[in-house]
Amino acid sequence: MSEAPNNASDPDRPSENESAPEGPTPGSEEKPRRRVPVFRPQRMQQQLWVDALLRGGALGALLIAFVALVGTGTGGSAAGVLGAVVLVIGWAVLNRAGAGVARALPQVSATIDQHPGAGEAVLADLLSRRLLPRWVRLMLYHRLALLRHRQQRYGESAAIAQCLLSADRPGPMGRHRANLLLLLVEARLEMGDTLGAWMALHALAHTPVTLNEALQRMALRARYEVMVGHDDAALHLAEQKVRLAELMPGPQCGAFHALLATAAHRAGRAEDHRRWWTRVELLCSDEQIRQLGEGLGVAIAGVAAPDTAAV
Amino acid sequence: MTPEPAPPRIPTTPTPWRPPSPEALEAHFAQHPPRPAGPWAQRTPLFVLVGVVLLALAIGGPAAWLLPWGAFVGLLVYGSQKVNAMRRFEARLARAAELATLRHHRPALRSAWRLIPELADHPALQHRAVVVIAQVLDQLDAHDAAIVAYNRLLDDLPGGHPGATMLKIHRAIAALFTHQLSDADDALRRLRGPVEEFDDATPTAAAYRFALLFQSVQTAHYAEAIEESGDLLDALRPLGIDAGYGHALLAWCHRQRNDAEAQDDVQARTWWRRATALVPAAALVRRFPELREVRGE
Repeated sequence: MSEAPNNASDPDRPSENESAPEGPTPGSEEKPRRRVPVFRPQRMQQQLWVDALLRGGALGALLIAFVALVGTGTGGSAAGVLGAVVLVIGWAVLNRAGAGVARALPQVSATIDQHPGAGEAVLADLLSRRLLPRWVRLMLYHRLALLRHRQQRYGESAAIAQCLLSADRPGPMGRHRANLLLLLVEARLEMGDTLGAWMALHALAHTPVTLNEALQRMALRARYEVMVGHDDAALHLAEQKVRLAELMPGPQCGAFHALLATAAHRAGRAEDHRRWWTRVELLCSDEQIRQLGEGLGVAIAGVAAPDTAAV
Repeated sequence: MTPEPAPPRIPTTPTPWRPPSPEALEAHFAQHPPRPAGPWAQRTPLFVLVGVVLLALAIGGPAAWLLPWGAFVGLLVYGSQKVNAMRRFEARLARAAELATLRHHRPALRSAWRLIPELADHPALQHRAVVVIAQVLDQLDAHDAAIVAYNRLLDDLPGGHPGATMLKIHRAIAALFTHQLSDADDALRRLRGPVEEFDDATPTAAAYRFALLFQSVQTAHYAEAIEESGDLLDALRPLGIDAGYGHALLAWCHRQRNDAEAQDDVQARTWWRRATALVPAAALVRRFPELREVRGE
């Protein structure tokens, strides 16, 4: 089992790399970027509650105005028509903030992927807005989970994912359930929490997934099985798994082969081990193999394949 | 009088399926060009709402009071229907892309082909359907038609788009397959600068390296390809399993040079072993039939 970070049991506490502030270097005139505070489930619930209260209040006011228009009998007059227009405009203004943030979500994902620092600043700005519909705020927290995962702040990403998975009325965010479960499995494996990872894998087994998600699930499951020593389970239907793994990008494909090679080595299947390890050496550089051993949290078992070392 | 019985259906041998020709693909694209919504079309709902309000002010009475609300509800329904339609298109596109990834060529191509006219009003989604078509045609070795798809994709992209470099590399590789060597040479020369901006460990740099190796093979510059192969193993790694095709091409180069002093025979065997460790020999020979000799047939 790999080393568990200190914050494994306390998702609110920042880990070592969380404490490193991201800001301008001393002497530079660049303004410090906004940061999203460390995630706390209570804060998210509070924001959702405030949004619901404000939106509910505004909607109630519009309804009262509507009833007043009908009740006072001014509906048919020019004032009544103008009143209706004002109500429609009020409705549009009420939804403007949410619509703007919803439109920005794809751009946020792209920014997080390419420039995590800038992505965090954008997220901090968007999360501080009020009157957001519930599903929009949940989507923003989903992006925050992705950002924290990318920043290797696994305790926080797992806490956000867990909170979102158990949220009531997820709306369109429900379509990201498989993605959140994958993130949760990986975060828990990174933290050495194999029991938590198994529970998330179990939930993932009953969740519809896309092809890419199925490939990720297969890789994470193999990693879990190798971590806990279920080598036979990892090697079950190995040839089919290898064919699927060939659809992955090079480094991920190499990592999957490294897991299978490790399981084969421990299970005494020397020929399979040699075959898969040959592939690992072709798919991953020495540096990547070294990082694989550290990143996967298992002792990668490899030997220099005789036919790849020749040239 | 009893109706004449229908003639018995003669069982026909199914004709082998072929991917579309370049001409058919070009005609399909020309028939269904992307139609981006203009700024006026995007604001149509607003104009409708304003028009209805003005109409309500003009006519007066209870109907005038109901009209804005009716228009408002109508716009909400229209908006939600548009969103649902987009979601259905995206689901179909994702399915087509998955089929292409799983190499179910025929259903993937059929699905993407049918989506082209339906997505004319959504250029970004139509672009993704063309990507699926290009990917499938490339996998089917229908390189002439793939070039048509790549041309269309490059026409759609704005100048300087980061994705354009990879598309141009794929188009150059397709041109090499179809022996349009001078076009490919021009393209690869022009791509040298843009590719240098990418990190060596990116699929774009690896694909460019593969294209250069393939160009050397197609122009019979075997010795040159071997001389420049010092870091080929590392350079092709970002291609994943497909790096095996590059290894096989280098094995072919060693076999063609066949210099006893340089131990080309041993080198050819080594590179061929590497290639077949990643890609089955049958798949290598299917893509590059000349490799049959290296395989020992």
